[in-house]
Amino acid sequence: MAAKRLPIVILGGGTAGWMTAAALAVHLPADRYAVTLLESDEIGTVGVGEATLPHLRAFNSWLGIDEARFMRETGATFKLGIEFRHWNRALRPYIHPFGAFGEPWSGIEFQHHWMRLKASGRPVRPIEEYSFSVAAARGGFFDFPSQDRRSPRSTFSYAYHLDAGLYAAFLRRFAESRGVSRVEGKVKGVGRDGVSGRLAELTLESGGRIAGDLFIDCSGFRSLLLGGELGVQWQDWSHWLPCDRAWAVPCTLASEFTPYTRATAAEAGWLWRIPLQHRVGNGYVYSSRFLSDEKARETLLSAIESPPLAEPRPLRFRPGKRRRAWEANCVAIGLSGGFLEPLESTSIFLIQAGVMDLINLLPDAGAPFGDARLRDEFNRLYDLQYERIRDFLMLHYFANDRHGEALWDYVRGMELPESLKHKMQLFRARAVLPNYQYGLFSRDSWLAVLVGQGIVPDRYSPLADALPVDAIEQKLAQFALDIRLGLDHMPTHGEFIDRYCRAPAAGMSA
Amino acid sequence: MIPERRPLAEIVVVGRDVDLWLAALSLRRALGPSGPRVTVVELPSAVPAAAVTTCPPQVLALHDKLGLSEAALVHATRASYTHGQAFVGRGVDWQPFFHAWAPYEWPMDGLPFFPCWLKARAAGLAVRLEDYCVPAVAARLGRVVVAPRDDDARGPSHAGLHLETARYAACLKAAARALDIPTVDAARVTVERRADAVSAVLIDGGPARIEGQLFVDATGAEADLIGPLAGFDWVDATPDLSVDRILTARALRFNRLPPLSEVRIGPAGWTAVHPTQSFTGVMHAYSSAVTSDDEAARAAAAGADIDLEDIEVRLHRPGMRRGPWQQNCIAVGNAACTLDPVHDVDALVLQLGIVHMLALLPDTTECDAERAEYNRIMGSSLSRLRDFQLAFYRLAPAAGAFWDAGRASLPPPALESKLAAFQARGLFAPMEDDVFPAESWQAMLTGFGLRPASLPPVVDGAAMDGITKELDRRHAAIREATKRMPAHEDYLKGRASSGAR
Repeated sequence: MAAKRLPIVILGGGTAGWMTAAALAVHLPADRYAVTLLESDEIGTVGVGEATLPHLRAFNSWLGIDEARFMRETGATFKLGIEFRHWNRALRPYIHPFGAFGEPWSGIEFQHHWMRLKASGRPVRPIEEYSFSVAAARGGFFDFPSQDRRSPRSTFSYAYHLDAGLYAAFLRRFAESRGVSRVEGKVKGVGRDGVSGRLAELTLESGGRIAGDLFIDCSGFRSLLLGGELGVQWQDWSHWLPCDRAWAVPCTLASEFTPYTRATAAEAGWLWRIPLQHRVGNGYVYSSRFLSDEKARETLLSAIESPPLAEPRPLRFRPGKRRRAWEANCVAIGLSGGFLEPLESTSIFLIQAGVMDLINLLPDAGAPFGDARLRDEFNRLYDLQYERIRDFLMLHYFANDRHGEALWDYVRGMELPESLKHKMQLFRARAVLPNYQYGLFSRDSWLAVLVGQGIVPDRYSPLADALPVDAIEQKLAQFALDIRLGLDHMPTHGEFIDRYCRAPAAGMSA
Repeated sequence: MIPERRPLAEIVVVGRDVDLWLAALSLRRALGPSGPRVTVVELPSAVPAAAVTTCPPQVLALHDKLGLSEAALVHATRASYTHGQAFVGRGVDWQPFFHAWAPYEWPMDGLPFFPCWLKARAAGLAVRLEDYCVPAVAARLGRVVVAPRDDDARGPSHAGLHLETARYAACLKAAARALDIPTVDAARVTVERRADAVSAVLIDGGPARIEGQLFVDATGAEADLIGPLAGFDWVDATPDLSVDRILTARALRFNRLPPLSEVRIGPAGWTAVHPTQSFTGVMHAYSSAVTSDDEAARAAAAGADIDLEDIEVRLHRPGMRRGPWQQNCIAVGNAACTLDPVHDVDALVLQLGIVHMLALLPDTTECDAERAEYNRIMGSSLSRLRDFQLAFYRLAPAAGAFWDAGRASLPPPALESKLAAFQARGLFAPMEDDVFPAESWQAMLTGFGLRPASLPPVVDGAAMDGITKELDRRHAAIREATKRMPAHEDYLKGRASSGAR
């Protein structure tokens, strides 16, 4: 068969561009698709997405990437969850772990048993003491989850903190060695088909041209093709998620080498702390409506644990998404399709979800423009992801007790979307967690943040009362004990990295 | 007005037959002896003499939780196992296909199975989709899928049961009696309301009355409690589900019981055949606009190929309550929703209602959040089931006025997405609260001859050789494995001896 290969053009390197290129290189038949990636060394990448979700493990193994090597080459560390500090001043910091709380007994979810025990005046610990992953995170430990389903060490998953710039470079080597051609250059213009209006080619400042049948817009916030050229409308969510700027700055490690991300609430947003092998990533995400850029910069610099390794970098963004991520023959992957603040490390996940859906729904090599049904399904799945994450992010904000700070007063009083209102009503009334199987986040995640943000249900399921209270008391005590025993002989995060994937000191200066 | 909030002390379940007793038993089991009191008001049975209930695996799992012994149930009801429904043609041009009750995981190295099969099929492979489905192959051979290490109490994996409905209801009732659930008999009930809530049901017009704070309507399609409280969706919106009459009848038992049911597609309706150990349940569904009752009786006999007894005809009115939980009244089973009978989903609808009712059972009279969630999740799940049925009638490639009516419908948006993703690429468009899995849609849509326009590139570009080899290997392995499975009849005999103990 000498059929023409379908030319795919990816505009933009960075995490989105190279994740897309790497996946296409591995999973598309090389005799039917040709992948070209255009990027310019002069354009910086955002590279904020240094904290990830456990899903990235599946993505990497789908590409056949060796974990230890990937971690070594990206300066990665392990992440068991996120610690939230000061989101409620009256409450202790809490961890949203990638793991379970307790277990269901008699088919009744754990939180009902926990509340019932509390209501009956029995001794009961804070909910996080029934989570192995929280215990491991607090202790600064790491080890791989156990395969033994009876062990508490099997009840968690993990993700990574990584240097997004190094990850993009790692994937670039990976993709180029598998046939992706990279073109260095900047876009000057976009050629369209006169009849259909489809994108036909990119013209470069150097005068060159790159023609394609499918264009993947990984140009970041600028959204050159989907937003700029095709004019797909922006759906603004800043009334729900008011943070729209950030400062980012690296420093050296001078505090705990935590196997978790930290998100500390501040006057007009929150500060992140992400420990990598070679540095600590820090940032302040804030709302320009409530804080000046200069003040935000000062706050960040005074909060970091050691002198900055570089000048703080400003980032500007808009929370929301494009009405459609796939329009005509252009698909947006990454920030060009939408942005949700990095509070729950969802940026790289959204890239991954887009890439995995696209691989399934990519136009047939023989009929590049033939089937709008593929586009519609892609857009349906994309909407679902965004709305789910949006609701979960908002939960962190509106349930706060930071009275007297303008941002926090605003988000406490904002009108919630119906989907979130319903979820809140149900948890408040009787400790029922959101019930869905597609999209982020799991029921344990909702439980961690709901309880962590101080939302106390009025009641619990009456079915929990049918079990003998002594037996439940014993089960909970045993569970908490097993967790503590499970921590025995667990290596610290630093020890584990030394053994498994420590990067050589040189060559990590990116 | 702030609703009055009182602890829930008394739950009254009003209804008849399977819906009543399964709901009452589930509530009583879940709440335990120290929980709120559960009282039953039992109305006269409305079960046709020859009715057979199909319990899919999900319902058997509920039985398990309730402590109902499956062996005892099979013995007492003279039940037989079923791995699914075979859709075959009678007097119409029709390619047979099998809809299994439970998909069977048989992972293929690296590549997804279904698009590989599509690819091989397009290249001339003769082996049908169902020949890669272990329960379907076993059922066609008259065998049941019993994993070597299956717990003896559980019966075959991936199987459901055909139960004579009246005996099944009697078994559930006996189990409820064993738990001392207080029961009041009533020829009819009327609802007494105070403010915005049901306060009591009046027995036979009163003065006897049963008070409660929460009422469960398990009265079946009559919907004695919820009927006056909630409107009816779908009926007017779906002239396409044109079955409005159902004939039930009894025929002789099969000599060798097949572990499946057959839906025989005829020119003016369909005839379903449900084997049990004591008789064969025959159901004929038709539209009164196309067929008279006399014609239907003849069509049923022709469809069943056998003499029929105890023929009864009842009206059928598909629809869902607009909010099956109103005020302090929760509808389950047919009181909440009546679907088309073609996919045997009555027990599934009942199970869905019971499971969600239990998960959301309030403990006080204030239950706005629980009610809103029950109505949301039931509305969503039942709509997904209805989508499956709409797709059946919309795409079934049979000729005649009855079938033409089904094809005339416009699919709702969710179904449109499902069909578009399939037709474009053979993909299953996942929806929250889907009840039937991808495998069910694949079986039905390929059974109707739908072939996707293209395949996922991963499979499209994969070498044909490797795929063919893997499919052949799998096909041979399934043939070998199913040959060693026990014959349904032998298995039932073994069950009978353990169930009688």
